[in-house]
Amino acid sequence: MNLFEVSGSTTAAFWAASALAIGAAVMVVTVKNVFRASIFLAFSFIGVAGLYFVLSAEFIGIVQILVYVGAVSVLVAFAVMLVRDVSGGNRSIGKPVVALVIAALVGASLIFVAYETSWQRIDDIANADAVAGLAGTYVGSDAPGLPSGESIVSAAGADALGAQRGVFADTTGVIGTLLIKDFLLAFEIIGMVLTAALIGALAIMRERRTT
Amino acid sequence: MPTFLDNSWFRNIYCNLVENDSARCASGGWFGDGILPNNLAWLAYTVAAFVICFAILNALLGSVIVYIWAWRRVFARFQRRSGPNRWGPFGMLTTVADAIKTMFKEDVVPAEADRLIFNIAPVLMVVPVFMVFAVIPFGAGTFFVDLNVGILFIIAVTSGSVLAVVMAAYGSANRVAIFSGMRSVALLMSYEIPMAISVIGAVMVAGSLSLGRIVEAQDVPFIIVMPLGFLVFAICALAESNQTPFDIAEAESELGSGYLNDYSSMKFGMFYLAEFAAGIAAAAIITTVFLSGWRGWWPIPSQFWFFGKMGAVLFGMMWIRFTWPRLRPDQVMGLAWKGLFELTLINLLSTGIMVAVFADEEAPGDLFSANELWIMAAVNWVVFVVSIWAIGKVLAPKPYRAAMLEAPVQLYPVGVDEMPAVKAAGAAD
Amino acid sequence: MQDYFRQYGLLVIFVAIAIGMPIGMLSLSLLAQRFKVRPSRSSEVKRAAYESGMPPMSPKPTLFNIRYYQYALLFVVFDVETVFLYPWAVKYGVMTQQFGLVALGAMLVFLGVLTVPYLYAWRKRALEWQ
Repeated sequence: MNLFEVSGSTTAAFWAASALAIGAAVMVVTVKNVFRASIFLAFSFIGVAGLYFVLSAEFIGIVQILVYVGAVSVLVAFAVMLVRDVSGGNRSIGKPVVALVIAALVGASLIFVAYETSWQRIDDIANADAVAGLAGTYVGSDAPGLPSGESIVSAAGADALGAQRGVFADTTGVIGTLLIKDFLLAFEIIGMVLTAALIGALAIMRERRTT
Repeated sequence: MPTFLDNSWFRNIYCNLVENDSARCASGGWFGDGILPNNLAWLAYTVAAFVICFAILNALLGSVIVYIWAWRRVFARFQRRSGPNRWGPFGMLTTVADAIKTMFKEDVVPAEADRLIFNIAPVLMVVPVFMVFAVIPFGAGTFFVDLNVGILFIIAVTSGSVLAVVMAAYGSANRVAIFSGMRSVALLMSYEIPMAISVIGAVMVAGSLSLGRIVEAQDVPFIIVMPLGFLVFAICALAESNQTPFDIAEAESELGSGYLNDYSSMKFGMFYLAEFAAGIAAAAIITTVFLSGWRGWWPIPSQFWFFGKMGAVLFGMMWIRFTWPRLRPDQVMGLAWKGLFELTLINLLSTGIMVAVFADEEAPGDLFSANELWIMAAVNWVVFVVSIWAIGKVLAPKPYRAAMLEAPVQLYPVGVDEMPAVKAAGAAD
Repeated sequence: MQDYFRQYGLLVIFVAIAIGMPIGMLSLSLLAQRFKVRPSRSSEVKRAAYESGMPPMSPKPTLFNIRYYQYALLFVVFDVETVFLYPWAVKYGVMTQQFGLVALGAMLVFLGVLTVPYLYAWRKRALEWQ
């Protein structure tokens, strides 16, 4: 195995991350103790974050760690501590056939989607801004020496684009640019959704009792 | 984006090992070419990474030992005691002795404990703190990796310690531990939000999440450019290290050592190590993001600048710890959600407007010049004074109602100058 | 692009050592017990949960306050909000030139929408420690 080849080391990393994600997920459903199950869930999240890193989506990977490992798994652990029987509460529902059928259906549909999707690489993404951004050569339309109007890929950038085929250089900035440029409405709607979540969180709080 | 070959340690070790890698080692190593043929370059890469990684982590362990010694000595000076002074010159070997002693103490696991969770928690507590040092630039060309999500990586990784606290609290199956663990988690979570938002000002000005780039952008240190961001970040860093004035999780008079109660031997040592290493990590992050990192003036090497600034930050943090009384839990939580949260948003807004004003004349993605940063600083200081004053008005404690003082039950209200007169039992009158 | 994987390859090695080091220290301590350097004289009293010197009152405490769960909920929401601030902040300097005040305005609207429930939480005293 040559660590300098993308194929060798990334394949190894892919298998390691998948093994962590799937192994931990299996432990979540098989282990008896509910609290332990929630901790294994956190490890499963870490495995998924590893998969994002392998896909060179480092920002999403970091967000996976920040939100899921740092916040959601703590939330799950807290919820689990409200259960009366923590040490043996993770019982089987006793209907293995039903579970198997549902799992098979979900798995089959996921595999179907994976095969049917036309996976885009950087050289066949339609949006020129996205391509330029992903290749790390995003240049503003007002930049000196460039024709005004649409933002374009600079000449030096085109070479870099060729050199970096299929790999995203700096995803964080591109996500930010696309959020403001192409997905502004979706971005504001996310704000609304978060507001709804916050109000929901507040609604389950009891009013502070007056003395 | 700096690559691994911009790291001067790494390049030297790598280029000394590999035989002919002219593409990567144009300037060669210290001793010219190495012995490994080119198809074993990955081995050279791995060896170099292991060596540097080991060096960084061992240096960290060493500095934790020194830090604990300094902490105790300075603490003693603040209280006009002499502190540890028996082992070695100025008691310098005391912490070494403590570390060895901790290792050979009896390890007791409570009968009710969930052994798996109980044993994993100390490891999980230490790992996030170690991970911080992977991305910190210690000097010019002296870093382990310079990720282009650097600062976000630090914030994400350190949030993993919340999980470790939950595990330690649940694992010891002890009511004191659970109580203190939950308090600690509430504190960590409350302070993580303003902490994460307070660095965004620096990110906006630098135009990158990479710590190397953030250091480059600081022609004027960001502590001057955005005092609000620094203040909030410093308070949050202090709070997250779980010591006075924010030590509600292990308030000694109420909870003993909190969730550490049932830990002994090296497992306790791990928590102790994590606590002090987290202090050093916080100082390193503050130095990098707000004190212009390794930048300084010429004759002194950049590494010395970095560690000098870090030491100064650590001393400042100690000073606050040793002289401030402990805050009540409601004060601690109120400060995070009602005070710091607004302050970070004000910082975000004022810096955002300033960047919008000055970015016009720049080439895209260019860094701001020192003059522009000084103007930003001037405006931000005005905002700083005004907003601190305003937040102080909002959060000021309300005067106690007279009804409370006249209540038949003896109350001990805080913040009242004179206690209501109470007749001592059996006093002649 | 290979540099990307090399950077994270270094990080993987760092993670491995960062995990290996505490485990190594703990196992060194355990090894000392094997060689009778570290004592191991456990007893019923030692293994009892520490409750400030009192005998433990119940075998397994289930002391958990719902308030902590609510704090965690608030935390998750604001954490997600923070995550959206970062990519915006990285390209903010470039975007203000391209789109003018839209770049700042978009984030102000985003934060402004979230301010409403924040103020509501303040009024409802949800931000206070019971």
